[in-house]
Amino acid sequence: MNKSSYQELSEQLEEVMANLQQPDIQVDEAVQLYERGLKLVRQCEAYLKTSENKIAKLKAQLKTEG
Amino acid sequence: MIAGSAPVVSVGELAALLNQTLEFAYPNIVVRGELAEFRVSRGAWVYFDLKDEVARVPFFGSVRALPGPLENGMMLEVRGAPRFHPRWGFSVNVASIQISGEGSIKKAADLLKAKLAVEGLFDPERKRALPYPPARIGLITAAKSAAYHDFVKVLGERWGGIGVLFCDAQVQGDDAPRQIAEALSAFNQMPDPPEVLVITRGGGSAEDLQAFSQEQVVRAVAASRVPTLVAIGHEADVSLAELAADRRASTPSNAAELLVPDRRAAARQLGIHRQQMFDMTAQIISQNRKELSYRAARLGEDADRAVHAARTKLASARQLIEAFNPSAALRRGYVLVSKEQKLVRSGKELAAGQHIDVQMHDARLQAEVISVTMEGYEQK
Repeated sequence: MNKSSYQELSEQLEEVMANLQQPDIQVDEAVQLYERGLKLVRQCEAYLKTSENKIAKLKAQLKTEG
Repeated sequence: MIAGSAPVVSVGELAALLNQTLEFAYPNIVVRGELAEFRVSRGAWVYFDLKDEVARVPFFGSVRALPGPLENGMMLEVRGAPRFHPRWGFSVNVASIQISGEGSIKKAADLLKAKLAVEGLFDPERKRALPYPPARIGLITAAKSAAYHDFVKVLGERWGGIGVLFCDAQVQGDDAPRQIAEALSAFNQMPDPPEVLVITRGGGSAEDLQAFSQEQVVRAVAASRVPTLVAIGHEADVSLAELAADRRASTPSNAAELLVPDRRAAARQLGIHRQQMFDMTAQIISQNRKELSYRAARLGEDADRAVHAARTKLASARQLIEAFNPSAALRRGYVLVSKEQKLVRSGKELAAGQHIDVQMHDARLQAEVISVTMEGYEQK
């Protein structure tokens, strides 16, 4: 899971919420959106809870002075 | 001293002996003293003296050893090799130059700042936005330092999924500028470099921090194609590397705070979104329910109205029909006259002596016509 995945999830969630606010939305469409939004929230929460940073040493060696 | 016991040597041999002796005794030395007679020759070589109250010693080196613009009177700490050149005599060959003492350090930084400001290295327009959050970070700091530990710890607390590429470099001492500049160069030369480079260290004395106001380092930060964040932990003057960077932070921890969002705040926000979506959906459903019952009520009302209208119509029709009901007429006193089972409506159909049936509302009569008088006619 990288940053762009979380970013994508976040953007999709915002889209769902914007759609839920449309004035003429039908009930079954609303329920579908809600379920999708809930799924996105859970995925985001899972990312926040579990992901850690990976630390690696740069392979290029610094030249030492003679 | 006995005459004749001293060795006889040629000039060249003496020069060589002196040089070898110096090389053996002082392969390396660090001299602290006041700068004097500073000059740059052909843009490539520097000549200067270091002096104190009792002596003055000449130094010689490459411009690349300069930490920045220097002025006579500054206190320097110069690492070099004292040597005897066959033609030019004694001089210390400069390896690196550091400034000594807060006063001189500040003076040197001011000189360098003026020089680089003219070139536009500190211009606000040059600053680039850092990705938020970055997918990969290049970290330049001293291994096992508090700065390293603090940055990595706060970064991990706040956000995850980031790749940190770490390059170990000295952050003080006379080799620090070279190592920092080379680390910056190494990251910049990667075919797929990280999105941001973080150069950081903790607090320290002016001497400890001087690498970050050294020309080689400041230029390397300014020239970095990868956006830079420099975080030097101190409360005093801002180092020139921080001025040249795209972003500065006050400490290593602060650097992590600026670079990435806080997962705890993000989780709280998600909780709020969760509730908002629930509320929005519930509201839509409830709104729908209301509409539905409103419509149902309307339907009921319409139906009632229709039934009522029908009833009213029916009642009127009944009244009308009732009005034509023969028994009502009979009850009002009218009679039905029939002759030979056929209804007689007009006097014309009757003559005296004929037998007729008379229907009253409650009786039936058999009668004989005595006379017929048409309205408006004479008696027949």
